[in-house]
Amino acid sequence: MQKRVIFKARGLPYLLVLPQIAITVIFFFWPSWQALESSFFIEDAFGFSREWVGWQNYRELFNDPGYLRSFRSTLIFGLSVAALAMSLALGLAVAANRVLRATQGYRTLLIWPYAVAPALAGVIWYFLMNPSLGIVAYWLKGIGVEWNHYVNGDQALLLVIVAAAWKQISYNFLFFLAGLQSIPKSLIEAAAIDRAGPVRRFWSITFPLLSPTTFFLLVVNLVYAFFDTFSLIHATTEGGPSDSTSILVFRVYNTGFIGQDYGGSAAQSVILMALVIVMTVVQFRYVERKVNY
Amino acid sequence: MATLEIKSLGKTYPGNVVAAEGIDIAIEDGELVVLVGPSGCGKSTILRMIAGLETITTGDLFIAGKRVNDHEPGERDIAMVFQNYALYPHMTVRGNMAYGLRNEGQPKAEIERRIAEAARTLRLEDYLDRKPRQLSGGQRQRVAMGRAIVREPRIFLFDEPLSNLDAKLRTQLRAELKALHRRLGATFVYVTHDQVEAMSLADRIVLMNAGQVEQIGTPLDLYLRPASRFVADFIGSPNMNVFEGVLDGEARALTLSGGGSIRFADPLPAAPGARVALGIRPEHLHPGDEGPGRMELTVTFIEQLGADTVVHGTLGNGREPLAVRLDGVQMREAGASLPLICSPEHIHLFDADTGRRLN
Repeated sequence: MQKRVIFKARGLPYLLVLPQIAITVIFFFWPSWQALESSFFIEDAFGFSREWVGWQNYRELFNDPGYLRSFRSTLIFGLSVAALAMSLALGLAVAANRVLRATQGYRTLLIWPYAVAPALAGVIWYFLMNPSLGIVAYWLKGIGVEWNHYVNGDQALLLVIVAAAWKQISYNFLFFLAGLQSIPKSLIEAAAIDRAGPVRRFWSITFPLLSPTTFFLLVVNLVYAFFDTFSLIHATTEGGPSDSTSILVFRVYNTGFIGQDYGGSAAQSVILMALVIVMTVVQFRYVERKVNY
Repeated sequence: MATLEIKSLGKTYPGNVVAAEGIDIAIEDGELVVLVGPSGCGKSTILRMIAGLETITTGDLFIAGKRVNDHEPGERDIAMVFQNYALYPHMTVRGNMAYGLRNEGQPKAEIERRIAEAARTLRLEDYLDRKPRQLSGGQRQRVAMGRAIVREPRIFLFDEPLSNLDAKLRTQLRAELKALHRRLGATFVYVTHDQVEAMSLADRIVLMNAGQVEQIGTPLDLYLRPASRFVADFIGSPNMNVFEGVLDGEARALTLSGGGSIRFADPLPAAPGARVALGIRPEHLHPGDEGPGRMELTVTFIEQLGADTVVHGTLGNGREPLAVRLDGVQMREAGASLPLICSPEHIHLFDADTGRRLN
C-alpha cells in the first residue's frame, strides 16, 4: 500500500494537474474529437463544404480490398518488427549481462542506434539495400539472392521490417539488460545447483522472470511499429511497390494528404485510435496482472 | 552422505584480492561443520567454492574422495540453502521442490513421494500450492530447506540461512535444523557470522579470520582453549576480558599497559619479562577477597539479563575495561568497588604480538 500525501488546500491539487490536463485536452482530445467528427463527413478537397454521410466512410474502408490488405501487412509488419527487435535485443542483453567489465561501454555503443531518427534509419537501410548501389544487395547477389525491393513487394516489406527493428533494438536492449540485472544472482545459482544447464536455466528461470519486461516491450514495440514508423516508410518505400508496405498509419497519410479524402483518412485514424485503446486496455487489464508473480 | 576434503584451498579475485588462502579442512561423513567468522573473512567464499559457484584458484577439493575442482555445481551432488532463500518466485512451493528432481529426470511418482515426505517433515503440507511471496520468512526458509532435502544430496551447504529471520524464529529453526541433521545423517557445512549459532549447531567449528583458518575444533575446544586471541575474543558473550601487559621477572605479576597490576600465586607459563595478553572470561570471575589473581572492579554500569547480571567497569582505578557475569539478579551502584578472583585454570595467555596462545 502506498501512503498518500493529503493536501489540506482543496484548490492546490487541481492547480497542479491543470497544465497536464490542459495539454491533454488541447493537443489530444480536441484533435481526436475532430478526427472522430470528420470521419462521418465527406469534405471537398479545399475544405469549403462538407456533407454528413454517417457510416459511409467506414463502410467504404471495409469494402476496400486495399485497406484490408493494409491491415494484413500492418499485422505482419508489427509482429515481425516486435519479434525481430525483441529477440535480437534479448540475445544481446543476455550476452552483455555475462560480460562483467565492458558492460558500460558495450551498453553505450548499443544505445546509439536509438538516437537515429526513424527516417534516417530508413535511409541508411535504403542505401545498404539499394539494388544498384547497395553493399548488402551486392553481397546478396553474391550468394545468389536477387534483391530488388522496387519490384518485389515481399522484399520491400522485409526491408522496412529490418530497418524498423534495427532502430528499436537499442531500446529493447536497455530494458532487457535492466530486467536481467534485477534477477537475483542467487536464483540462477540455485538453478545451477539444481542441475539445470545454462539453456534450461534461461528458459525456466530467467525468461519467466523477465516476463513483465517482455510484455511491456511487446506493447511498446507494437505501438512503435504501428504508429511511429510512418517517416521510415515514407523515406524508403513510400508504401510501395503496389501498396505492399503501405501499413495503416502510412495509408492515413496517403488517403488524406495525397488522395485528399479527409473523411476516409479520418475514419482510418479513428480505427487506429480504437486499436491503441484496445492494446492499452490489454496491457493494463490482462497482461500486467498475469505476469505479476 | 560423503566426506569432504579441502586441501590448501585458496581464492584470489581479479585485482589480487585474496579472499581465502591455504585452507585445510577435512570433514567427516555425517558431520555438521560450521564455518564462522566476521564478515569478509572468506567463509562464504569457501562455501561457494565447495558448491562450485566460485572457481578455485589454488588447492584441491574432494567430495567422497573424488577431486571435483572442475565439476559443475550440478555434478557435485550437493544442495545449498541461500541466505535470501533464492526460491523461484514464479513457481509454487511444490514446483520449487520439484525443479531439481525434474532436472535429474526422476520419475513423477518418485518426485511426488519425496515432496510429500519433505513437506511432512517441514510442516509445509498446507502450503504446497502457494507461491513464495505468499509465505512468511520462516516458511520460505523451510521451503528452501525442503528444496535441498528432496534432492537427497551427499552434502548440504547452508549460507547464513537464518540471518534474515527474527531472533525467536532463528532459535526455533536452529533446533529444527539440528534435528534434521540428526535424522538425515548427512554431511552439513554451515556458514554463519553468529557465534551463538555456531556454538549451538556445530559438531566442529572452523573459525576464520582474514581469509585464513584461526582454529578448527569442537565448540568446547574453542571456548575452553582458544588457539589465538582472535578466537578468544570471537567466541563467548559477553566478550572475554583481555589485558595487555608485561610480566615481571618471576612471571607472577602482570603490569598492565592501562595501569595497575595483577598478581598470581604461581608463575604464568611465559618467559619472564615477556609482553603478553591475558584473557579471562566474564563468567570465570567471581566475587571474593582472598586468594591469588585478585583484582578490583570499579563499576560503571550493569546489564540486567534476568538469569544473570553483567557488571561492566574498569580494573582498579585504571582505564582497562573489565566485565564480569554474576548469577541471578544483583545490584551494584556505579562507582562501587567489587573485588574479584579468578582461578588459574581459567586464565588464557596469548603472545601480545602474534596473538597465539601460550599456555
